[in-house]
Amino acid sequence: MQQLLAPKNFYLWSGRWLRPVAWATGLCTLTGLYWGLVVAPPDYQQGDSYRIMFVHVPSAWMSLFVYAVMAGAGAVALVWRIKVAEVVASASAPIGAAFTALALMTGSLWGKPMWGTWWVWDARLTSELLLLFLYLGYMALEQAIEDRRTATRAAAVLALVGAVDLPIIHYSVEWWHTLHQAPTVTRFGAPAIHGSMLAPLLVMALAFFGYYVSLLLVRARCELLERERTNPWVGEVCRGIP
Amino acid sequence: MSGNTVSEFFSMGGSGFYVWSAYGVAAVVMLGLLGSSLAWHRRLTGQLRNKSRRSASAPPVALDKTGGDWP
Amino acid sequence: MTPRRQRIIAITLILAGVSAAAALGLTALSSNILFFYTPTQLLSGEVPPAAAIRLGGLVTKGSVKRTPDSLKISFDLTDQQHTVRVRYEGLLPDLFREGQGIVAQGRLAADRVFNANEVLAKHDENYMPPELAAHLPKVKDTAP
Repeated sequence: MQQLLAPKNFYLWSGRWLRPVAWATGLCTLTGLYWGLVVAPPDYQQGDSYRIMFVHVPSAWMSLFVYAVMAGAGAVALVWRIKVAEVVASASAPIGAAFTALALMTGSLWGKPMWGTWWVWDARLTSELLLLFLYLGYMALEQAIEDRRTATRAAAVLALVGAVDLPIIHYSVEWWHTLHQAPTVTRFGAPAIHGSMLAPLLVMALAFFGYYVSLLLVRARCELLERERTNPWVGEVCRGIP
Repeated sequence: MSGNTVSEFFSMGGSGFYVWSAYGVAAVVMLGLLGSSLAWHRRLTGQLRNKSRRSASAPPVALDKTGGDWP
Repeated sequence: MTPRRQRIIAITLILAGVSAAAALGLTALSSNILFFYTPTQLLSGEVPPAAAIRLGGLVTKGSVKRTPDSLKISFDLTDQQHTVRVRYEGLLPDLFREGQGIVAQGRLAADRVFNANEVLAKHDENYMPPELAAHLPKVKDTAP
């Protein structure tokens, strides 16, 4: 574990894991798509439009999870100055922003036929939009500071401050009246969704998780190469010397 | 699958536009980010390889074509 | 004290401070964050009279009256304690039906009827195949 924190070791280790993770992700994606779009039955109230759930819900879950990873890695980077934590935080930001944007867009495409509106300013939707701005602010702040390590640390402070939005997003539907409905899967007791719909949802969630891990590894490796470009190991691994 | 069930599948009970737009936008965003990240890695390794070759006094070492270092 | 320990303390303080500020702010703004009021809140005078608000509740079964050849509709909206009559003219979302949770935007008229200019459907968090729903004695109405 300790050895993995050395940039070169992390680079080589992530190179070995990328391929299996990417394959598993592809398999989950195909399975989940077929299961969700073809096999799963229509919903008793919403018919077929509920199938948007299979991309909307995993995007929304991952938008929160990636932010938690980003803020956590940022905290580790601030306290222990570990390079691998710095690159994990910076590599996560664009991926998390993409998940958040997707959650908002697919939610809008679901809201129009079901609720009758593309967008409302209720607590759930507004706090998720705030999350998108937090990601964008993080990326802008990192761009604005020349020295990459300083930039990552400054952005980590922003990420930590913004982390207060995570519980707000999750509990918004319980604390306030919202148009968005209460959680289905993560509530106490049995999920309020039939097994034939829950299974493809979980497979798609796994696929989105695998997508995040694969992309995180690719982007973290890029960040490491950028930041360590003057270090001899970078030239060596790029030339294929083990 | 007969022609009828295929068109039924694409119409999604009348909400085909919303369902397929949602899946379409997800595919575009996720594949786009994947492509740009892979391109970034390819560009960087190429750049750094050349730089390292130029600076190294030793003769260039044969590239690892076995795919051990993916992508 | 080591610099690392100082950094840990600084981060903890940032988190605690921001959380406290957010909690205070949200508590203060609480009523503004509500997306809609319930019929009970409307009738008990919690809402300024004639103010434009959103009203949420369940459409009472058997109360929907449509005017033929027009988009005019009226129905009872209830939170199981109080009921308000709602008038609306326009297109309704697919999910609008009796027993369904909806949110109507508009204001209370002098005749105690709520004049809505927009009606949104609020669906519940239950998902199941239609055959299964048919077998249930009655799908549980979740309060909006």
